[in-house]
Amino acid sequence: MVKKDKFKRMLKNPMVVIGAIMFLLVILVVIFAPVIAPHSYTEQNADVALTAPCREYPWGTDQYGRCIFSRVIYGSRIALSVGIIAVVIETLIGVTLGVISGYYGKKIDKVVQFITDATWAIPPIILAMAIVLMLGSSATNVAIAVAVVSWAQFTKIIRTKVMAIKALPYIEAAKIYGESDLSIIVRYILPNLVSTIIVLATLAMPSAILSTTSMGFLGLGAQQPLPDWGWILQNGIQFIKKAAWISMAPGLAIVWTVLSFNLVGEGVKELLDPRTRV
Amino acid sequence: MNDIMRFIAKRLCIGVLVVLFVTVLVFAIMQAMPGNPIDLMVDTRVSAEKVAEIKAQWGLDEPPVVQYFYWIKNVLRGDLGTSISLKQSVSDLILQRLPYTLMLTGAALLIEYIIAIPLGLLAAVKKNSAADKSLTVVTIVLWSMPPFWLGVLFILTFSVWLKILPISGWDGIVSLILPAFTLALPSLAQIFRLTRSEVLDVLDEKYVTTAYAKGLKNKVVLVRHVLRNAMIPVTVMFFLSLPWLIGGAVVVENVFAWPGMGQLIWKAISKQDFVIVQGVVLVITILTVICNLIGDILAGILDPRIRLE
Repeated sequence: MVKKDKFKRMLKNPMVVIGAIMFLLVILVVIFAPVIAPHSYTEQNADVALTAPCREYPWGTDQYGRCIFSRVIYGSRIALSVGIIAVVIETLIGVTLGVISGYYGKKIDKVVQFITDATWAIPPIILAMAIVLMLGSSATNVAIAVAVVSWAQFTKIIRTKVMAIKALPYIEAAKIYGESDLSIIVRYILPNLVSTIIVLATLAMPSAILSTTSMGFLGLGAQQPLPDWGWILQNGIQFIKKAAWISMAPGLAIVWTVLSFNLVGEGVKELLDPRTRV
Repeated sequence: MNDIMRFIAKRLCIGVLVVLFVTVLVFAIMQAMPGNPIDLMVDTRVSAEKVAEIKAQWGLDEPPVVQYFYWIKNVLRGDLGTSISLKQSVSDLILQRLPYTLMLTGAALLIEYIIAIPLGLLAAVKKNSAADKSLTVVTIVLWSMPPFWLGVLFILTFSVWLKILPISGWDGIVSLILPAFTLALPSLAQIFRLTRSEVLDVLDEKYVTTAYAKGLKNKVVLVRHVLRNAMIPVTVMFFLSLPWLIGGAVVVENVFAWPGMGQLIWKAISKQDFVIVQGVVLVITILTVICNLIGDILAGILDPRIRLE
């Protein structure tokens, strides 16, 4: 019942509703990209290179005469999937370490805490660049690199939660009953963490998309001719004086997507804040 | 005073450990890199024996653990190796560019705080007013902007249309304006929100009620009692936000062709020059560890509860 109330309160917040609608539109674009896009994302036509926005090319063309609108529409698939993969990986790392650290405590906790703090101290983009250099430039490797540098935000919150759950009487009962640690974690602790994990993952999406598109912008993401939002923008900068539309369109797409997550996050954050609970 | 010293000593130890951890991490990443510096430097026509000889000369035939200590020994002497692509000392390359990156991040931090703190205070005092709500929306939108796109917008507006500011590169202090604002505006949201929530918390404190009850003027209470206490976490945040800001600087430097560390590491990556990458990651990490340390220690000095934990 309490959960339902909270959900209703979330829907009363106009920011959350606007964010949800914006996000729905992104999902629709991802699903129906081939229907929406007037051209394919690879179709080149030298005759129309650097054409300003017109009826045939709604957002103009780049130096190869490729339709920017179509490229940005198809690019949503890359941007969103890379962001989601990054968040899934960082959730896996962050939650695993958080559970281990919170459940076992003592020395293990100290070691995990230290690794978490140390990772936190390294500027994420810089370390991610080094990791991509090691793995090679590709969309998947960018997702891995961004995940490897940003899981620390999960660990701290999950650890605190696990410590609270661990102190509950039924965990003690299970221990006396002789259940193994693994079975206690899987059967009693993880189910209690599901809502927290979902909230944390939602809150991690915007920064994951910003980081992955930044990597794309630096040329480390999905390789040509795949339409990487960051790279389309980077490519447009050299034509900024005569063809500003090339850089405008992917930028707008990134802001739209990230903003939708941030707006929804405004409501979701309240679920995490203990002060608004009870 | 004693517990402050103990607190600082403890933090310093942790800081040193973190730096050590990072050196191991950076070294491990570079070890996992395909190929090694000699193969990249030496012509393919050079015989295998000669290559082995050079490797032995550089200590590259030793096991990784020994190599790590060789590397650390050089790092401690300030020698970060020789760049593969530029054939220059990496320490020199970094020293040339470090001031530019520090100037950019410093200016951005300054702009952030000058704008965010008064706005945060205003939003908190006039909670739920139209001003508060619109500020919240504006900061969320700014927060959702990729810095590289904001930079392009600025270049278009101020350099291409209005023609009042230089497009890119370093050409005196005016060149700093656009990159600094590009870096500052998206991250300003964090400081704004922190100031707002901290001020709101402090406004609820009993000593604020007391101050009002004493008959102090609103302005005096706000500045002397509320802002001073709300500033503790905000000051700490100043140092803790640096890693993110430096990360952002890499991207912003790229937009404006700013001659800093970001450009250096970016060019090095495109040329697979991992000696530079290694050096830059190490230097930037040490800088952030120092900043985090200052933030932690400052937090302990300003707020006694933290150091007694």
